[in-house]
Amino acid sequence: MSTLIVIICIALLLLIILQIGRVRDLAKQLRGAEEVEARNTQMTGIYLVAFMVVFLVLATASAFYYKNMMLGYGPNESASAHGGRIDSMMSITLWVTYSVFILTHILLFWYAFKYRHQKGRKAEFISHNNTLEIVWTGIPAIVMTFLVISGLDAWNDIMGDVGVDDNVLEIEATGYQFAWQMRYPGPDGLLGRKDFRLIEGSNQLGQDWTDLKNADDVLVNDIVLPVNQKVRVRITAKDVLHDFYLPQFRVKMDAVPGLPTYFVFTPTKTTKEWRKELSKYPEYQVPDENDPEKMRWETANYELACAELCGVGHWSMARKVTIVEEDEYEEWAAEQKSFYMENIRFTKDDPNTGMLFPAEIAARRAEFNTEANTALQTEDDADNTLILKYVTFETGSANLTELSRYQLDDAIAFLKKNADVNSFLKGHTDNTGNFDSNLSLSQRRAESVYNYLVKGGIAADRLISAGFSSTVPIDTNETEEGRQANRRTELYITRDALPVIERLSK
Amino acid sequence: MATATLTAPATRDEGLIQELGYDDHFHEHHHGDKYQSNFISHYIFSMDHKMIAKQFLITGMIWAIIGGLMSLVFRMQLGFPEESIAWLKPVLGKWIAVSSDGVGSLTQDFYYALVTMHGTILVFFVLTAGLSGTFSNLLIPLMIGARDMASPLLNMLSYWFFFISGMIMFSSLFLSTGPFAGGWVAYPPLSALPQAMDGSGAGMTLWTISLVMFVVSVLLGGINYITTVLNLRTKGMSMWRLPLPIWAFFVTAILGLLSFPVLVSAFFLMMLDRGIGTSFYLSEIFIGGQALDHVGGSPILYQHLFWFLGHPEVYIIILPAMGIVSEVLSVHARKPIFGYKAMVFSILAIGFLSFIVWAHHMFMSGVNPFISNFFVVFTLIIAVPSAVKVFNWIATLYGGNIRFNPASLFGIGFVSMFISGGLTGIWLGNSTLDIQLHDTYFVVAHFHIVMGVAAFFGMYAGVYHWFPKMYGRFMNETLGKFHFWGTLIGAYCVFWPMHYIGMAGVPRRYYSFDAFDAFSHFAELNKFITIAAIITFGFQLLFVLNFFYSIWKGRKLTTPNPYNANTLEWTTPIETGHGNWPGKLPTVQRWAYDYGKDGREFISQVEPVSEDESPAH
Repeated sequence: MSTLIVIICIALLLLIILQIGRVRDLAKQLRGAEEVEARNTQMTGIYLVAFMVVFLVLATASAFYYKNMMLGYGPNESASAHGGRIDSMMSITLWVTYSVFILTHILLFWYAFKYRHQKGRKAEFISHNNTLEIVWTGIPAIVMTFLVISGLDAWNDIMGDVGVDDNVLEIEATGYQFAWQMRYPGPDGLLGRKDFRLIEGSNQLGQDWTDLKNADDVLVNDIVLPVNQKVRVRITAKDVLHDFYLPQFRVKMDAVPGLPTYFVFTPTKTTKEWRKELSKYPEYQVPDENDPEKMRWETANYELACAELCGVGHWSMARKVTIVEEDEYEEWAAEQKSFYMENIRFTKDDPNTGMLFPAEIAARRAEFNTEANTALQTEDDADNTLILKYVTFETGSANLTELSRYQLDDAIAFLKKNADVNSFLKGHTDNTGNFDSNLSLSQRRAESVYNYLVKGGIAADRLISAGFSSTVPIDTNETEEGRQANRRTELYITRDALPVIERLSK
Repeated sequence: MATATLTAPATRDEGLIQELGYDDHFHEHHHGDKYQSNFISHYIFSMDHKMIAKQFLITGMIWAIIGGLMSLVFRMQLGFPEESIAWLKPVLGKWIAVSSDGVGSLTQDFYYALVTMHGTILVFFVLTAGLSGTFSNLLIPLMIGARDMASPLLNMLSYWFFFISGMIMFSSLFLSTGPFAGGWVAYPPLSALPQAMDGSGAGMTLWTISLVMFVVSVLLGGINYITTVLNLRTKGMSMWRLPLPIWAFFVTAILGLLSFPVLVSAFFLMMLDRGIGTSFYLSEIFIGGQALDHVGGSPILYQHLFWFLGHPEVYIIILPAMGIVSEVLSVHARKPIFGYKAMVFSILAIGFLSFIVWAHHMFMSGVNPFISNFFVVFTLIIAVPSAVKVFNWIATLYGGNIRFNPASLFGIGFVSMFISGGLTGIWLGNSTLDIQLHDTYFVVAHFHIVMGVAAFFGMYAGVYHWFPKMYGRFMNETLGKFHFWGTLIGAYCVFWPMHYIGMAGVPRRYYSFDAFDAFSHFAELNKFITIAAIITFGFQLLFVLNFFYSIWKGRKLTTPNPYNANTLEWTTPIETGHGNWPGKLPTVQRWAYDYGKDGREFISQVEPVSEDESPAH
C-alpha cells in the first residue's frame, strides 16, 4: 500500500513539474519571447557564476574539512618508509591539479556569464591563435614532464626488489576465499617450497614437507613485524585474484594464483606510537563502538585488507597488523611454534621420519641427560631405570633402526662421562605371539644395544644385558598404545656392582 | 526531380542546394519509400539511419534506467545498511534476505551481481551503444551530405545484434544462480570458475555470449561509419571540412574496430578455459576442496587483452561526447570552434595514445614494475591533448554570444566534468600514487565523473540539440534546465565525496565497511552519497518524461534551421524523409564553423565563398 502511495506521489510530482514546464513555455510565448528569453539568459548566467563560486568554495572547504582523510595529512600520515614519497607526490599533484581546476573553472563559468547572449552583441570571429595554442600545449607538457619524472623516480625506488646483501625479513601472505594466511620463515629465515597440489586439510598452504626449509615455518593469521625492519612480503593466492593491501603503509599488490608477487616496505611507526599520534585527533577521541570503555585511538590497529574483487566475501578479508619494537618482536617470534613440528612431525604425513633435526637431537640428549643425572643424584632406586624410548628395532628383528643411534650415542657419552656407573640393559616385549620367541627376541634386542655400547667404547664389564619377554609390562596389553609402551629397551644405571643375572627361562 | 526544380525554394539553403547541388538521381531510384512502406519496415526493421539512431537512443535510455536503478539498490545497501529493504522483495525476490525480525537486506551475491550489471550495462549498452550508436547513426549521413549509411542493411543488423545482446544480458538476471557477479572487467579465475562464485556459472556464460553479440553490433556499426565517412562525403566535403562530431565518430569507430576484436579473443580463450579445460588464464588453483588441473596459464594475460579493449573503450565513450560538445558549444556561442585543427589532431592523438596506455589499469596487478614506466609516460602524455581540448572549449566561449539552452548548458557542464574527472586522471596515471589509490573509491569518483557523467552530459547536450532534427519538435526548455541543474549539482554531490573516501583508503566493491576499523567511519558521507544519487536519478526521470512528452506534444519546429547553424543536417526539410534531401545533394563550399564571420551571424556550409569575403580561417 505504502509503495503504491509513494509511486502515486512521484507520478503526481512529475506531472506537476511537467505542467510548470508547459506553463513557462506558454507564458514565454504570451509575454513576448525575446524579453523573457533575455531575462532567462541573464538569470542562467548568474546561476552559472553562482554555481561556480559555490562549487569552488565547497570543493576547497570540503577538502580542508576532510584533510584528515587525505594521504600524508593528520592521522593519515604514512607508517612506512616509502609511504612518505607517495604522500609528498600526492601533495604536489594535489596542488598542481587544484590550481588548474580552479583556474579553468573560473574561466569556463566566467566566460559563459560574460559572453551570454545579449541583444545587439556580435560574437567575435576567432578561429584559432597559434601562439596561444602552442603556449597551452607547451605548459601542460612541461608540467606533465615534471610529474612523470618525479613519479617514476619514486616508483622505481619503491617497487625495486631487495638486494642480495639487504637485511630483509621475508614473510609470505596467501589470499584465499575469504581470508589471509601469513607464513613466517622461522629461525632459518627462509620460506619453504610449496605446491598447490599438496594442499589438503592438514596442509592449507600445500607446503612441501620434503623441503626442510618448511620445518620451522610458522603459520599465523595476523601480521606482527618489527619496526624499522625492511620486510619483503611474498604475495600468493590459492584460488582467485586477491590484493594485499595495507592502507596505512601504502602497500598494495595483487595476489595472483600461479604467479608469486612481492612488495618491499619498512614500517616506521609501532602500533603504540601510532595510537599515541591518533590520540591527538578529535575523531579518535570518541568511544570505540565495539568497546565503549576505550577510546577509538586506544583500540586502533593497522589493518590488512583485500583490494581485488575475489567473490562475495571480498569485503571481509580483515587481518590485524601489529608493529612492535625489535625486542618485542624477538620475544613474539620465539613464542611462535613451527606448524610442521606441531602438526605434521611423526604423523603419517611426515616424509622425514627417517631423520632427526638437530634441535630434536639436542632436545633428546638434554632429556636423557636430565633423567640420568636425576637418577644418580637421588637415593631412590626406582627412577634409575631409564626407558630408551627412541631406541627401536626393525619389526620382529633385533636390528637397531637408523635413528636409535642418537639416543645410544647419548648413553655412551653419558657412561663415558660417568666412568663409575654400571648399566644393565633390559629388553621387553608385549604379550602378542609366542612367549619363547618373545623371550629370545627381547634377549637379542638387549644384546644388540649391549654390542652397540661396547662398540662405542664402553668397557664390557660395565654392562650386562637380559631379555624379559612380556613379563614386566608397564602398560596394558589390551591396546596398541599400551603394547607399544611395553615393547621397550630399558637402561638401568647404578654406581653399585651389577647384579648377577640368571637367564630367564621357562 | 522535375518537380523539385520547379517549386520555389522555401529557404535560402534549399535554393542554394537546387542551384549548386549535386544530382545523384536519387528520385529516379526512389527506394526510400519501398523500405518504409509499412509499420514493420519503418519502425522495427528499419534501414533508415535516422530511425536506427532513435532505436539506439531509446534502447539506451531503457538500459540507462535499468542500470541506474540497480545502482540505487546497491547504494541503499552502502548508505543505509541497517535500513530494511524488505519492500523490494516483490521485485527482487530471493535476492533480498529477510531476517527473522522482518529486516530485509540485500544478499552479498546480489550486491555483487548488481555492481557488475550496473558497470556492464552503463559502459557497453548505454555509453557505447546509446551514445555512439545514436549519434553516429543520426549525424554521419546528415552532416556529410549522404543519403544514408554505406550499408543500411549492416546498419540495421548492428542495431538488432545490440538488441539480442541486451536480451541475453537481461535474461541472465533471471537465472537461479544469478547473473554474472565478478565485476564488469570479469577477471579470471573468479569469472572462469563456477566454484568461485554463483554468478560465474551460467551467469558468466550468458554475459560472455551477450557481449560477443554486442561486439558484433559494434563492428557492423563501426565498419559502416568508417566507410560512410570515407566514401560518401558529398561534393566539397573534404576531411578538413568535416564538423567535429564526425571526426570524433570516425576515430571512435576506428578505435572500436581495432580494439573490440581483442576483447572477443579474450572471451574465446575464456570460453575454452571454462568449457574444455585449457589453461590460458588459469594456473595452480586450489578451490572448492580440490586442486585443479590447470597449470601454466596467467590471469594477467586476460587483463592485458581486456584492457587492450578496455582503455580505448573509455575513449570510445568520451570521444563522441567531445565531438558533440564541440559542435554544440560552437553553434550556441555563435563562434567557430577554437582551433579546429588542434581539436582534430587532439582527437587523433588521444585515439592513438589510447592504444598504448592499457596497462595503467594494471600497475598493481603483478606485471613487472619496470614495464609500468612506459605506461605512466604515455598515460600522462594524454593529459596534453586533453588539456588542449579543454582550453579550446573555453576559448570557444570567449568573445561569444552564448545562447543558454539545455544543450549548451550541458555542453558547459561537460567541460566542467571533464576537467574535474580528467585532473584526477593525472593522479591515477602516476603509478606511484596508484599504489595507494588503485581500486579505492578515488578510482570510482574519477571514472564516473570523467567518462560516466561527462559522457552523459555530452549525450544530453546532443539529445537536446538534435531532438528537433529527430522529431521535428523541441524538448521543453524549462524542464531541460531543471534537468541540467539537478544533474550538475547532483552528480557532483554523488561523486565528489568519493574522492575523500578513496583517499582515506576505502576500497571499492565492498559490500559492507564494517569489517575494518579504517573503513567503517564514513557512514555519514555514504548516506549523503546515496541520497544524492536517488535525487539525481529522479532528475533523469524528468529527462525521460520530457523526451517522450516532447515527441508528441513538444513545441513544433517552424523552420528547418532553428539554431541558425551551418552544418548540413539543418538544410534538410523539417520532416526529413528517407534519403535526407528531397532533391539534389548539397555541395559543400566551406568549413562548418563560419559563425560571426564578416559580421554575418552564420554562413551555411552550402553557401559559396563570395569574392569579397575575408580569407578562410
